[in-house]
Amino acid sequence: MPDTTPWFERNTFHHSDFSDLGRLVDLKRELGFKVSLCFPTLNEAATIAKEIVVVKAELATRFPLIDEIAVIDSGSSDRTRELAAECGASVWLAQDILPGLPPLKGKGENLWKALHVLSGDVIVYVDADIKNIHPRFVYGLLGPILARGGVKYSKAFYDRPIAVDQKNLKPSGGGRVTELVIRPLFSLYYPELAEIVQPLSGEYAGTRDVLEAIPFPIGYGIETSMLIDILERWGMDVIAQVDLDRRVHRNQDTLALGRMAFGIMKTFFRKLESSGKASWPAESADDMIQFQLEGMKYRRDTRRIELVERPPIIEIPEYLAGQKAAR
Amino acid sequence: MEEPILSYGPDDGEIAAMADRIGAIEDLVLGNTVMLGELPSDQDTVASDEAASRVGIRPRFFAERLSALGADEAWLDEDGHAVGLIEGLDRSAPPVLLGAELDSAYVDSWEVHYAIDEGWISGPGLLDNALGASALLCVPDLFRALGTRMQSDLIIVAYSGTMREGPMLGLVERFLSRLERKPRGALAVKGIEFGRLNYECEAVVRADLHIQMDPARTGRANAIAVAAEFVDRVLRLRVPSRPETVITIGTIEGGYKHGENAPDATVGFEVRSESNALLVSVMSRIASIVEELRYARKVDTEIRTGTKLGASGIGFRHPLVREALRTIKALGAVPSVYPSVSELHHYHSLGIPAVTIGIAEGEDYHTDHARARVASIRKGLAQMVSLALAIDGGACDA
Repeated sequence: MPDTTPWFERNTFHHSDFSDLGRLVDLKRELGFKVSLCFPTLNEAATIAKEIVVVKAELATRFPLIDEIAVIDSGSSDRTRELAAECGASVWLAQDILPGLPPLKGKGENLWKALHVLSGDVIVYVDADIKNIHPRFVYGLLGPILARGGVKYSKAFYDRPIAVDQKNLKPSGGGRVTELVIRPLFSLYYPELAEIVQPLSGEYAGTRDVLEAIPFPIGYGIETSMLIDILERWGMDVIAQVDLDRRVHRNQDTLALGRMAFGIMKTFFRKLESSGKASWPAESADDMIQFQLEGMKYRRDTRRIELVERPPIIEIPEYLAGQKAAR
Repeated sequence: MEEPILSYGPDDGEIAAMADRIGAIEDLVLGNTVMLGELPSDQDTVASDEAASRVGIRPRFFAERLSALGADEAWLDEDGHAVGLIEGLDRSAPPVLLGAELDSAYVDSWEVHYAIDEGWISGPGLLDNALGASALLCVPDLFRALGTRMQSDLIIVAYSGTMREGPMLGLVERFLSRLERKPRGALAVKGIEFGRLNYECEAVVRADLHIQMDPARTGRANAIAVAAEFVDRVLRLRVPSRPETVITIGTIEGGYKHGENAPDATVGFEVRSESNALLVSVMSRIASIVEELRYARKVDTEIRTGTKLGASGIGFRHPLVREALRTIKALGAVPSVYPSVSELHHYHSLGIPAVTIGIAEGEDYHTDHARARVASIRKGLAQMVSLALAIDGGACDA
């Protein structure tokens, strides 16, 4: 008999549901899974060492839940790569992975290329700018995939205060771009995805068979794109969301959030068109126009935000060859 | 010629080897330190979903984690101390106790972040005393890594409420007095400085003088001016250099607006002495100054005493002191021996032989950038385990 419990109740978890790490290790072994943890980085020297040490201590040394920890770096000019290597992570420069492809720069590129160099059956992606790192950020995301049959992708949500300065925090709700942009759009066209508390959160985990079969936008739209693709191909039942409590992250100014919203909307509308939900008479523009007050004058600032996307990595011959060799 | 030391614990070679083996689990130690130290340390900080509870986040984390890491029992006592028990092979033997302050001085915020870089771990409150407390949290891991098991039960206690705004060190005495079995010996564990050895306590009084103006009696008089007069007169008191006696004015607060006379002021001060009698004498003279100011300046005054400890010690020739010196030297450091003002007094006053040791080499002790040299932590932990084993081996039983 099908489970008629609403998705939100059925597939929403709290990290403490999975705090029995010994049990998670047993489940991982039973499933025969290998787990990889990936930190995409660009100039994260302030936090990367701590993140690796804390997670490695608990989830590799004490409980063998994670089999490999990797940093995929976009070309940091600080000591990110050096510190990560000192702490025992495998470190890759994104441009050195699949070097035959034209290089692109962005978080999505790092996540996508990670699939080629990591060997895990499950990949956990965690942003490297988390100041209050805790092992729950990783085991909380792994929990539904290991413990809940059928779940192939889990997404984090948080109580997300933002660090406004060295000393002060203020609450940010679900995030401004989430509440003002993506939630209204999801509610209009993909109401199932509106059930996700923080669709833009940067921490998620997925099984390789899912991640290798979907395209990865390189810029801001990666999270939006992933959710739509997974929904359309596998349905909501493979998606879970996990409350990871509090996450302290860097604040972004309104202009930066505006550019993020621009990129996300481009991705969203492209998806809408490709899934036949809407059609547009012409190509949309790639330039985001913003104004900034400088003294008594407004300065016009135009930023090009193109929608660049990597195809499903399973379509890349080098990837297929690597996977075949690994098997 | 130095007095030969009778060994109660591991020999010098074993101690050095311990440090090397602890180095292999360094990530576990650092992980514990970061997770503990980034939690708010004040007694009343509670999780948002547990507003009804008054148990601090940090003590609760400590007890839960100690249990998860393998202590046979772990709990929070009625004063909010986190306590753990690792059972020994001989349950009838009196226990060994390891204690550390769980609070971090003046670090109450959620916004505390540690960093690890270039062989250092750094962050607010690290050295006082997140690192000392996390050393205790690591004991189950250390025993596993070293293949060690003690004869005696080991009591681990992380004391809450020990910093200035809390009930301070009196809570330590209450905890020790409540123990069903008196420990055979104890270690007080501090974040820094590896190589320190305190086996004597100076007598100390830490107090606040509160000055309150009554406008009806004093007109335009100013509490801060009275506080300044108090400070001036106290600092001019003549105190002997032997037995050493020191008066320190540590804090001064008062007033509320630039253009208004301050209606109240508070002066925080400390008097410490190697002699109980001298301390009593100095405090009596301070009380006289306060009384005179009360009448002469027409102000209300009150001295509120936060900490009052007597001088105590176990003597340089005590086997625990000798063992502590030996372990420091075996680990390649030069002992730094001096009297302290700390919870050590409460152990001594209850007849529990105890010394204070430090875990790491550190810098910038009470700043936002307090930092400890990672490579030194393994030595401090090796010393802590070696001394626990020495107590277990009878160093405090003579």
